Amino acid sequence: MREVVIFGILLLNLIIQSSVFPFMEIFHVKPDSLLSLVVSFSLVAGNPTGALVGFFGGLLQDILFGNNIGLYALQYMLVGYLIGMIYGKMYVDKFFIPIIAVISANIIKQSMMLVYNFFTQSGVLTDKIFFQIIIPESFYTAILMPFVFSFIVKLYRNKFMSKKWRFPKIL
Amino acid sequence: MPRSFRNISLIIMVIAIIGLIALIVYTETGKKKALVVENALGQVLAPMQKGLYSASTYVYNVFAGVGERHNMKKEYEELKERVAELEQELYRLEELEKHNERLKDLVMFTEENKEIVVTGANVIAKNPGSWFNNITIDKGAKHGVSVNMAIVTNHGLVGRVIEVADNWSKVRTIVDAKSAVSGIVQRNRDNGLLKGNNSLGSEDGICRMIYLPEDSNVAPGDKVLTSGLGEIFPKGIYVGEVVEVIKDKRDLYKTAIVKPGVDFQRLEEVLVISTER
Repeated sequence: MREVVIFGILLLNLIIQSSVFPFMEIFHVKPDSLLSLVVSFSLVAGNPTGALVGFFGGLLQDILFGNNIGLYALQYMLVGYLIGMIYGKMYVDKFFIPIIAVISANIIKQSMMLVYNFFTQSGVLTDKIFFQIIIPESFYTAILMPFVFSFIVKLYRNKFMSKKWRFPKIL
Repeated sequence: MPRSFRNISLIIMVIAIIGLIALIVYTETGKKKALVVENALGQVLAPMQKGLYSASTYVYNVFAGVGERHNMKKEYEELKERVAELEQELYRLEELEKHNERLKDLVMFTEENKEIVVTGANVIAKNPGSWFNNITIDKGAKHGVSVNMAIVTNHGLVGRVIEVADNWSKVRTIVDAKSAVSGIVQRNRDNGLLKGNNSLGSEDGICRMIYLPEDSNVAPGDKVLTSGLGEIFPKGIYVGEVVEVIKDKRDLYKTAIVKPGVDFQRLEEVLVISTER
């Protein structure tokens, strides 16, 4: 049940992100709602969930829009894993920690993009990227973050979501 | 969390990372036909994307109009005059159009017309994120679309097909950083390479025409067409207009900033054309 719900959310997010957000550009960047979802899941549910949500969310984007398969999956999985590591180690409020987490997650993600562009030599001019993509996109996503986070928190109050992730009994 | 479990999860992560990097490298160049999973997923999502995309286009256009409302009154008077003028013009054009249609039928069958319009298509989605500029169209292999076909609108070149599924295809637009189109300046026949430049946020939707000869007298306002070199794009498709010419001291060539004729923000209907004879 939980897996189905999460997958449904990811699918819905992908549809909205690809058909509605292109029309909501400010300073030529779009908010990365998948990133805010992945970070929210990592903060609320901890690690296997965070990394897995990142992996499948990224994979969906790869499959439908990517130039190659695995690029987004790798980014979002790593971000989910890294943010998931602070689960249970600190008190997560409703506002500041999620925003700080999503901004740092965005910086990590964009740095991986820079590395990818360096190795593929795609000819992207990288000198102004920090101010023209990373900062505006971080802020735009951060504005979105409290809403997404409170939605995920509410979702996890439901009974079917709170079951702990376990290996099958045979192990 | 027990220590042993943490080690296992770390090992799984490392394996997953290595596996994904291998997958990225493997699919970076080779993939042309959509995978089975891709095909099935696209089949389900395409209608939903299509509906939402056209709905958002409508909303976007409504909001874009709000800012212009305050000087509407004055414009109304001016437009009324224009309508009268244009009505006259219209009668003349209708006559010409009929004439044109008759001629077109003939031209269709002549040998000069090597570009074949394969099909019309709707844009149903855009790549999320700021780093790539790909779009998805709602026609695929079933409608005769294949890889490397050119995508155009009546305003000019949009891009080329990079991947084909049964009912949809991915298109790399000319403003994508990975796109390179051989172009020619209409006035003085200078050749250059049109590179996308989407990464610079505020310069989104603009191309750079590089490798123009150093002694070229290209100037703002010049029109840029495709040159037909490389045999992907047919010769003579309108691309855009030069807005600025740059010459760096250390470069041995000139660079022109080209504004494409196509508005990539409001792309809806496109044509797929092939260069095969």
